[in-house]
Order: sequence, then C-alpha cells, then structure tokens
Amino acid sequence: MELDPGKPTFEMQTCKVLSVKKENYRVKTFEIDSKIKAKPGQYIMVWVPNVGERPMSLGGTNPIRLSIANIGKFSNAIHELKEGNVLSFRGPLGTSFKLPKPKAETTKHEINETQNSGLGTILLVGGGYGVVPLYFLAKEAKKIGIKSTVIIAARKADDIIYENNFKELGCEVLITTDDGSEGFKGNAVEGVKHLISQGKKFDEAYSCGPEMMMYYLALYCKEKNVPCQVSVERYMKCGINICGACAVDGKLCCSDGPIFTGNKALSFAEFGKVQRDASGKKIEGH
Amino acid sequence: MSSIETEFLGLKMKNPTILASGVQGVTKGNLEEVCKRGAGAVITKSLTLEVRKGHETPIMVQTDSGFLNAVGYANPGIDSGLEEFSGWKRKEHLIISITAKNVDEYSILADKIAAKLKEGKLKCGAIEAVLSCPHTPEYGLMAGQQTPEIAEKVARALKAKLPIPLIMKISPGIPGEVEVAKAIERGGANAIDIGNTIGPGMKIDIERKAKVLGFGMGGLSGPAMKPIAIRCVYDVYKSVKIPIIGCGGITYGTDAIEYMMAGASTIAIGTAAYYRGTDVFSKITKEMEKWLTEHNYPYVKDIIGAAHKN
Repeated sequence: MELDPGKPTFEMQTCKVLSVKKENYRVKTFEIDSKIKAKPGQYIMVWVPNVGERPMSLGGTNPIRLSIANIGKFSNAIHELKEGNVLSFRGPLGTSFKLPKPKAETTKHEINETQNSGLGTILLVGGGYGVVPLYFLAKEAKKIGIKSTVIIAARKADDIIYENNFKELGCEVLITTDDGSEGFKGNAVEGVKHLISQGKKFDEAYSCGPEMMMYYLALYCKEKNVPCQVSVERYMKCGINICGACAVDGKLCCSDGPIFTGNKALSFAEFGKVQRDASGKKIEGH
Repeated sequence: MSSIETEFLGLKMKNPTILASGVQGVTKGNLEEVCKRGAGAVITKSLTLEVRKGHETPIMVQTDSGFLNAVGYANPGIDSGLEEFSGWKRKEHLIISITAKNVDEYSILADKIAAKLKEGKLKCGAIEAVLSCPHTPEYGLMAGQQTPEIAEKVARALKAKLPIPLIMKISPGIPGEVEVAKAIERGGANAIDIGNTIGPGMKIDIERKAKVLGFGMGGLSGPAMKPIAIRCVYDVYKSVKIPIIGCGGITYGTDAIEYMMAGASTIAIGTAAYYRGTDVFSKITKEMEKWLTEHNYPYVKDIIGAAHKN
C-alpha cells in the first residue's frame, strides 16, 4: 500500500477510557471509546505524555480492548487511569492473523451461533497475557463459524487471565501451569501434545506469548504439518518501518510483522535465539 | 532503455539510490534485505564510541508532508556495530556511518575501523561521518559541529587514518553550508551528503497539551524539507568539485531527477520507506529509468548538474 505524504496517516488519537477491570494481581483490562478498524494480531502505539510510547496488542475493537500487565514505569502510568480519563494512541499497525477461509459452499445463513457448523477448528496457544490478541481472533473466528480451542498457559494459577472470556465465546479451554497449581501441569507445547494425543485435530494453530513457547510450537506444528502463525515481539520504537530497532534477521517486526507464519519465523536465524535491546545490542539465549 | 547504472567514489552501483543513514540499518540482515529490495548502496545507522539507547519514545511523529524524529543515535557502540556489519558479501556497497563528540573521538573510531579493515573482516565501500544531527546533545548541530573549522579538522583526522573514501554529512538548514562544504573538500573528504534532517522542530498534541516526541524536539524529514535541501545541493555543487549525495524528501523518481539536476551524483532515501514501503528503492529506480528514457538521456549521469547549464 502506498501512502500520500500530503495526508497524515495514523495521527495520534485521544479517546475516553470507558471501563477499567482488574484481571489479576498485575493485569488490568481497559476499554477505550474508539471505532478504529483493526484486525486480530495488529497493535496500536499507546502514548503517555512525558512517559513514553509502547506497542500494545488489541483484545478487540469498538471499543478498543487492552489488557496490560503492570511491569514498569510505562504500564504503571497506564494502570493509574480511571474510567473517564483519556488514552492516546496511533494505529492500528502491523500485520494480522489470517483465519482459514470458510468452505466455499457455506453461506452466512448456514453458520449457526453454537459454533458447530463443521467449518473446522483452530488452536489458539497463549502464554501469559499473550492470550489478549487470541481472544480478538476467537471472536472473529466465531463470526465466520470457526471453532477455537484455547490453551491458556501460565506460570502459576494467579497468572491465568481470560478463561471466562473464552468460555463465554463457547471455546474449549485447556489451562496449563508450569507449577501445576491449576489445570494441566506443564508448558503450553506439552499441553498441545496432550490435546493431539487425545485425537484432536486442528486446521491451523495461532500463538502469542513468550518466544521460546512459540519457537517450540512452530517446530512441533512443522513436524505435524499443521500451518501455524505466531506473533513475534522485538524492541519496537517507531512502529512504521523506519527506525529499524525491531529487526529480526532482515525483516522488521513493526511492519513486516508482528504476525509471521511459523515456518517464516523458523527461517529467521534470530527467532528463539537473539533479541536486541534499545541500542540494538544483541541479547542472546533469552 | 536508459542506463541507470552509476559510479560513485570509484564504486560501481546498479542504480543511484542509497539507504540514508539512520533509517532501518540496525542489522546486517536488514541492510541485505534493503539491497534485495532495490537499493544501490546502503548506509548503516551511525555508530558512536559509546553504547546509546537513544531518546525515550515517541521517537517519530508525523507532521504535514513529513516527520519529526528524535532517535538520539541509538546504537550498540562501535565495537558491537563493526562486529554486526562484518562479513558483508553483497555486491551493493556497504557504507558505515559514524559520529562523535569531538575530533579525538573521531580518531579513535577511525583507528578501530582501520584495524578491522586490515584484518579483512570488514568490507565496506566508504565511511560517512555525520556533523549534523539536530537533536542529540553533545553531537552534531547541538554541539555546534557544523562549522568550517570543525568540518575541516574532522575530515583531516579521518582521512589520515582511513584507507577508503570518506563522505561527510551536513544539514541543509544551517546558514553557511557552502563554507562548510568547501572546508570538507579542503580537509580531503571525498564526497558530501546533503543531507541530514533540518530543524529541530516541535509537535504539540493539543488534546494532551504536550510535546509528542520523547526528546521534545526532532529533525524534520520528508517532502516538507525537500526544497531546502535541493537549494543547498545547488549552491554547494557550484562551489566544490567533490560529488554530492542528495537526500531529503525523495519519494518518487522525479524527486531524484530534481536532486541530480541540482548537482547530486547519487541520492539517499529514508522517510519514503514509510510512504511506499521498503520496495521504494526499486520503485524509484524504475521511475527514474522511465523518465530518462522518455527524455532521451542515455545515461543517468547525463542529468547531474543539468539545472546549472540553463
């Protein structure tokens, strides 16, 4: 897509906070009064004046839904927001998850709301708050009659979010925790193997969360010949294909990504191995 | 079909487009990708003696027909940077950009580059030294480096140590640029890049009553600055013999033609990678070829300085 330099795109928008909900000990969900059109997997750059600007993935649009963990100076400033305050952002930016195409003979009329239309099932694998964009994806999938099975992977029971949100959509949910404090004891990929061993079949897998989780999921999907898409995260600054901070091999996460097919991600020598800090210096073995 | 191949500082280039320093260029893989997508040569992000995280975000904000940026020379430092860019294998030339707080620092950077070149690990066609960043304390314009005296000293210090061509980059928005250009030539540099962003400028978000950029101000790039850079290229071309890289707001092939007619031998592209994607290099090359063919110029070099003949 080419843009006209004379017409500013993605200008900063300032919108009202409609609601704030506590998800767990460190994550809050914010609903923002905005009608931007975005697809699951895309992100917005959220700006807090005099603090900074960070990429945030979307849990939904109209209103915008953000779930943010309080982990530092920036997210702490977001957590201060109350209903009626304003939030500024630009976007949506980046690439999106692509759902499998509904079968040609199926019309909208035939798709029923219980998700049992037989159009297929996708597997969503979310680690920690990586479940947020996958919730947006599950909602979009449901609209076209695709069922979602969701793995919510967390370190411990306290870290689980969105379980009820997915269940309310009618998704089958498997919780995994590293310490076994809730659900299946093990990591996300072990959870996937558990589902497959029960004879479950998936048309495509989608993942967002820690990179090592996505790396091993992509490898497993490749072995099992299941198409997969992952949301790759790198230190992102400009968000618009210019500054180069978010390079992963030759590609820029902000604009060539963040969504890549699992095989594309595996083709990057740096995926699962190397990240870079704000200066561009390599951080290996994360 | 007109020939778009060009020669610059003794370097053969498949076309006259160059990736401007500061745009992408953090990793070798990314620079290779930019070459695959059409660039005739690439310039790395500037390396400094120190490791720099750069300014707080937002580092870029869109304005009318352009952007303000305040990246703040984010880079992993000269040692990690030279490591990153070592082992270049593509035929398009790699140009390494450096910047420093003073002449002594420039000398240290040159020693490090010369050592890597001698080891045979680093393969680069030229070095670009930047005197002109408008938004980083202690560097460039904020350190008052764009003067004839400093420009000549830096050029001499670098040329004394570097066995490869030296390009020096100035900002077109500072009065006296012709004198600076002459000083760069006197100091022995082989080319001038005109140039950097201009300013600094500022963007205030009126809803938030706040400056948008993390650093508060930043350099202006994009079509908004093009007429100023074109005028600067025109004036400098009349005053020096060394070749010029034209840069600032080049978005379409006709912009590149205009710069070359003003006197640029090659052109660098940055902000247009946002408007037209990273393929902007091949797009602009094709547009230039078409224009030159339609106007019966057999070679792209035929238009360099054409506006001075009328």
